[in-house]
Amino acid sequence: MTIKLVDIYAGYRRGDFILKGVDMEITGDTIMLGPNGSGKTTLMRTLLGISVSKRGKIIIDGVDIDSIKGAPGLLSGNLPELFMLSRLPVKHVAKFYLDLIGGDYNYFEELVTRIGEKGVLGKKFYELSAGLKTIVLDALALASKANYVLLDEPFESLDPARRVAMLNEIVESKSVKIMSTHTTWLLNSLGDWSVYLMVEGLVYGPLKPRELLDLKVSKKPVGGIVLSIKLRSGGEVYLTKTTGTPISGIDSLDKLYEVLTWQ
Amino acid sequence: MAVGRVCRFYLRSILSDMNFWGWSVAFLIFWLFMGAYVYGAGVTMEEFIKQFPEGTPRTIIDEAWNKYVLYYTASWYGSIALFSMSSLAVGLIYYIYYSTIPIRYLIKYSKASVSKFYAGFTLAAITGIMVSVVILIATTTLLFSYRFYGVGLLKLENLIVPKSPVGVLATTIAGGVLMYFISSTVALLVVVLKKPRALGLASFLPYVLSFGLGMAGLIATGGSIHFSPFNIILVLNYHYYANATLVLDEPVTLMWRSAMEGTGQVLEPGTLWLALLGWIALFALISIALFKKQKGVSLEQIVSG
Repeated sequence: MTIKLVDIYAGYRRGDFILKGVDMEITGDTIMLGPNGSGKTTLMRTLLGISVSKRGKIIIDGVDIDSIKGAPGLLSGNLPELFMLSRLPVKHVAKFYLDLIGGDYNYFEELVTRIGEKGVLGKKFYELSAGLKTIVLDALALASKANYVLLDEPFESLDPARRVAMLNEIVESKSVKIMSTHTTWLLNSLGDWSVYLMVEGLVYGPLKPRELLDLKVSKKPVGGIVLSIKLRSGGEVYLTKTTGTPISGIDSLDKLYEVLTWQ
Repeated sequence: MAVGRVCRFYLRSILSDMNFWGWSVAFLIFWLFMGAYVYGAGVTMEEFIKQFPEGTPRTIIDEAWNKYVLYYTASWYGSIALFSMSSLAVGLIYYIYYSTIPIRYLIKYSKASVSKFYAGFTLAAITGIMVSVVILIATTTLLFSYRFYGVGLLKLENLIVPKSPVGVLATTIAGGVLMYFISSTVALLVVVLKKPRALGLASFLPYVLSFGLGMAGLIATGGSIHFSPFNIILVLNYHYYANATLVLDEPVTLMWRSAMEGTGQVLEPGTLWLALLGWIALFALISIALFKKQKGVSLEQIVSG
């Protein structure tokens, strides 16, 4: 069970690629950690086949993504773009979608009513609060029971209790999970996952969560450098074992740039 | 099976959409009412009878009256059915536009192939059009029969029902397929041109064209306008509703007079069917070409431009 990305250039906005030569190999549960705008969602879209890769190769379980067709149960995700525009209640959209991809509607229903609310199924998607939308999308991805489940910011807009409940559900899922987030609070709970850092369209890693939390962010090339991250501005950021701002102290990677400014 | 699933999903979406009931059904029932009672206010037996020389047998006048109101009703039904189809096309354009993203995922990671998905979608569009057409035929029949015969004279044989239900059904199905491919062409063109902000404006194109060309062919002019993809639906529905002879050079509302006088070039329905099938084939080919082309368009350019 491996997803391999080789030199991927994908996503196109204002004349420039969003992913600029991504190389990575996913063999188990993985966290993509990076600030907003770093390309995490584009990476997920590219794996799901909805964003076009202009260069490079993606191989899923030994098969080139371009030649994959009619493979229900291989890969699913929680991105809203995957779902058809509809004014139907959530239960109809979910039944249709899970039926096509070979998922488990009963599990979806149980999960949505347990973590969300009972009335969610009868409501239209656009009528839901931001938190309930996240729960529905996460539940659809998990209920697919696909080999690989891609979860883009699965805790966005969730209150703390629901965040923990959803995290438990994700951890217990038997699928290989690839989760993107800009928050660091969950790293302690996912000790055996691999972490890739994603900054400005490039991927760095993998590391183990504990290793990452022990690192520090520095603008200067001090001793004990583990990773060096290239910035669009031409400068570099260093993750070191010795000097700088501890990553464990940055609750959101969105603050990475602020930390660098302060230094 | 995937075709059935996709069809059920989109049919349910169409039938639960208030825009469908508002614009494709209720708004057009309002216009049928206008046709029967406002625009048709002057269509009365008292006025009609004045056109005949004194002493004309009543049976001849009654027969002529029956034909006249049938043609009048058929011309209203023809145009209203066209406007109903084109208003549904506005919604279809949105559905097709936004389906281009999930379809990329579904053809890879679900049981649905492109052909199955779009076959299901087309079936749903045709069924949605059939639903609106059945309601509009029933309304036309009851409203115009009541208007021209009243309760006292209203007998089963006086009900202004379509003379050829099979012809009306065939025109509705073919019209539904044509509208689907016109919608698909417009939606995919917006994707390929990477102009998502033009979607709102472009979605009204079939509606505006069907009104403009349809009204022109209905009351103003004849000739090649009857071969436009929109007018063909109008003219064929008129023909099958009234079993009316079609005259090429006349607008629809004046065809009956030319036919009675034996003037003008007769337009065979078979010729219109050939043109209709040609239009369907043309828009289907354009849609397929555009669908292939849109695969290279990045999602970011579809969503935000």
